[in-house]
This record gives sequence, structure tokens and C-alpha cells, in this order.
Amino acid sequence: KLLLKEDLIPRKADTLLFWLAPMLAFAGAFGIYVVIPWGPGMVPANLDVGLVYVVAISSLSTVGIIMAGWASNNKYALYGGFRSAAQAVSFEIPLMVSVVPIVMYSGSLNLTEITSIQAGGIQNWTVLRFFPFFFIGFFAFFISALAEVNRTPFDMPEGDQEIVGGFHVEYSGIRFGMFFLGEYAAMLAVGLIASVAFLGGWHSAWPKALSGFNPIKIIGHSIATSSAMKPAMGTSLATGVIALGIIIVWLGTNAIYEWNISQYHQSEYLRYFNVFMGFSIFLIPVVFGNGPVNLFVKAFFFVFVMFWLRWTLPRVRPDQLMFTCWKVLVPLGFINLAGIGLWMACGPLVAFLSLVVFILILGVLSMFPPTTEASTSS
Amino acid sequence: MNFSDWLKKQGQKNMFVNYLYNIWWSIYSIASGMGLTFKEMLKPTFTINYPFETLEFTGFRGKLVNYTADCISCNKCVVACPVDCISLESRDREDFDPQKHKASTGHPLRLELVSYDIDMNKCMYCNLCTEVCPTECLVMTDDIEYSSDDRDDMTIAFCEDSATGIGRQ
Repeated sequence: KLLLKEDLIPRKADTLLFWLAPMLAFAGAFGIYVVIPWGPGMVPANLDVGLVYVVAISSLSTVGIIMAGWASNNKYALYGGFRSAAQAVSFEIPLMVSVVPIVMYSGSLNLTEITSIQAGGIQNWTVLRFFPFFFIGFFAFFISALAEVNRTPFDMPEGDQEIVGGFHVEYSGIRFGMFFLGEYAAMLAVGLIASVAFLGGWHSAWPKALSGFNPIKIIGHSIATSSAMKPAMGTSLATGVIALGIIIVWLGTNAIYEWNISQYHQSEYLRYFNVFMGFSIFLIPVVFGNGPVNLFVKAFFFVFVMFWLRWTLPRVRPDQLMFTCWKVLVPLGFINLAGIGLWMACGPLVAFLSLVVFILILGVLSMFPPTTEASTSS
Repeated sequence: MNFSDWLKKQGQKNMFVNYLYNIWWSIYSIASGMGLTFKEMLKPTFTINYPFETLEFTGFRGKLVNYTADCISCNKCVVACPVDCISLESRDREDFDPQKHKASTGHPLRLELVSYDIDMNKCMYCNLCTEVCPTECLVMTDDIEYSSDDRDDMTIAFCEDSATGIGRQ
């Protein structure tokens, strides 16, 4: 639809930059996909500096946004561009700082290496290592990534209610479409990077589920042998059996729920159970399957969380944004970094003890608040 | 006193505790807000997909319909109409037979209806014409969806040889 719309360029716009800006924003978002390890041996470009490349190339879309703000020759667009610049400069730091412990842990910047150390089940995923340091670091990463891609509640460059659309106020047609597509591509890229760095990439949560002695495999195996198929079909069939079982239960609860709607008193718990069964179909690849589908489901979960945040939260004020970045996320990131470093060097006890000592020092210092300027000058 | 209140009270005394309280409160409020939106997401929808699904309308002042078999051409509706959207023409019935020419309410049909047109563009749905109708042959239906992109389509003719000659009922 946007492809067919009229593409306007304001008369006093900087034509070259106006033309270049959406392309940069678009390229910055799509460049990230190049280094993602989609599955075993499925990496478009196995760069040794993968993580640095990701952070560098994602800043390109910010340059595109600033360029769009400048080139539009419009005060609202310029506001949007500058807001984006301030936001990107601030949130680049907690983003990097929350990613550095992963590089320390895996000993590599290569995303394939980072994925491969998380093989072998949910207990090896980075989020749950060095608990709770990586767990907190994961949330810090997600919040700063949210600010990096200008999504709600950090969508100040767009700011529909204050600066009508912000940086893309003068854009129409396919140029606007490229900004739009770039934003959504960046959202999915954030989900992918978060899954690769923290949630085990394409590795499943429970790889041993379909090997060894367990009821799921026995069911699958018995079906496979009874239907005169090869016993080797057992593992793949077991996944099918689980999927089929969940779908049957889901459809059953759906039917009960449809009947329940017509009743005066609706059961809330039935509805929740129904939705849970519906969602658990998506859990199957995450729990049992290794490969691209697994990674996709994880990434789309993050995209869903971003939509969910957009339904929930209003836009933050600039001072709240800066508070979140410089006074919460940056200190948290450095505490994380120090904690994981100490844990790797001296063990968990030292790490936790230093954390407690650090908090105690801060607590004691806070009992003697700094004297105000008025009292010192008098 | 729950944890948040206690932390807030401590935060008024101490800067650092206040900072921790701010972080705690933001996490708590975001979590509760997201819980609320998730619950709302699971609720059944109240909107309908309009052109494909419609609600049952009852008691509307909708499109006017004249059942011409009962119309005695008394001209009351034309007089009552504040915007003059009804036009009526009639002529004397030469072969008038009181037994044969009779409305279902018992009124004699002395006049023969030649044309009965209602311009629904002008109609303001005031219901005055249907109130004065002695045989109750002019009624308002529940039909409210009869828009058209041609203005002439909105003039409804209830007699076959009426001015517009459309003659639909």
C-alpha cells in the first residue's frame, strides 16, 4: 500500500540526506540478521567480531533517524532526531555493559561461539548462569535495547502526541514505509540477539527429553513399533504425539469455553487454561527442538512482549528516561560486570560478599547526605 | 503495612533507600500494569465486524414504508410532514363499490392512489406522518441501512405509475 502512495520531498529539504536517511535506517536494522546463527551450521556470515558488529550496525539506524530529522527542514522532525540522538548515546552504554559479561563468560565475540556454550539444556542458558547476575543483566539488556529501537515506552523520537510523528513527519510513501519496516525489523533483531545472547540461541531447553528412559519417548516408540514403522521414528513421532495431545486438549477447552460464553457466569480459570494450552503449542519447539524454529519462537516472544509493553505503558518523560539510563541501568550494568568478574575469578562467595559490602557502603554513605550549596556558602 | 509502604516511609529518611524504593516501585507498577493488560487480552471481544456481522436492531425509526393497499389517500401525512418530503396524488374512483373497495381497517377506498413518493433525503424521522395515519398503512421499519451513492435512489415510490416510475415497495 505504501509503495503506491505519493512520495513527497519538501522544497527546502536537503534532498540527498532526505533520500539517504530511510535507507540507512532500513539497512541498520536488516544488517543484524547477517550474523545470527539460525541453526547448526546455519550462519550467513560467521564473523569473529559478531557482537561488536551487531552493536555497530544497529547504531547506523540511529544515524539514519538523525539524518532524517535534519534533512526534513522541519522543527518537529529536528526535535525527533535530536531526541533519538540523546537516547541512543545514553542507552548504548548500558546495552554494551550488559553484553560484556557474556563476552567474558564465553570468551568470544563470535555469536556462534556464544550459542555453542549454551548447549545442553535450560540450565546452561546464560540467563540462569551466575544467578542472579545474568538474570538482572538480561532485563537491563532488554530495557536498553527497547530504548535503542525507539519502542514504547521510550518512543520519544516519534512522540505522536507531542511532536507529530517526530523524525518521519515529512516522509510519505515508501520512504516512510522503509522507516516503518526498519523499526519492526529492528524489533525482531532485538529479540534474536536477546535469544542468542541470553536464551540459548537455537538450543532447546530439554534436549535429553527424547533420549533415554522417559514416558514421552516410550509412548512415541510404542506407536512407532505398533504401526510397523522403524523404531528410529520414535523421537520425531514423540514430538508429534505431544503436539497432537496439546492441540486436542486445546480444542476441547475451546469447545467448553465457547459453550461457557453463553452462560451467565463465565469461568476465568477455564479461559486461562485454554490460553495456556494454546500458547504451549509454541513451547514445543523451544523445549524439544533444536534449530531455526526454536530461535524464531524465542524471538517472536520478545516481539510479543514489546507489543504488550506498548499496550501497557505510556511514554516516559525525558528526565525519567535519563534517570533510568544513567542512574539505574549503568550502575546496575557495572555491578553485574564486577559481580560476574569476581565470580569467575574467585567464586560465588566473594562475588556475593562484595555485593553486600558495596550495598552496605552505599547505605552508610547515604546516612550522611551531602551538604547543600546554600549551607556551604554561608 | 506492606513492603512498598514500609520502603516508602524509610525512603523519606534516607536517599539511598528512596532510590531503591523508586526502582522497586517502577518494577511493581509495570508488573501489575502488564498483568492487567494480559488479563484484558484474554477477555472476549465486544466489537463486531460490522459490514459482515450486524446486531439486531429493534425500535428504530428507520425507513418509511407505505402499504398502499390500505392507503385511503387522506393526505394527512403530507400535511403533517414538517419538511414536505411526502408527495401524494390521487383521483376519484369511478367504479366505487363500498363492499369491494375497502381497507383492512374498514375505511372505504373512495380515492385511488396514483403516486405516493417519499424523499428519504429530506426525511428527518420525526414519526409525525405515521402517528396521523388513520389506517396505519404508513409505518417506520427497523431498516436503517439503505444508503446509496445516487440521490435518486433515496426517493422511494410506492405506486407503479408514480412520478419516478420506479414502483418498488
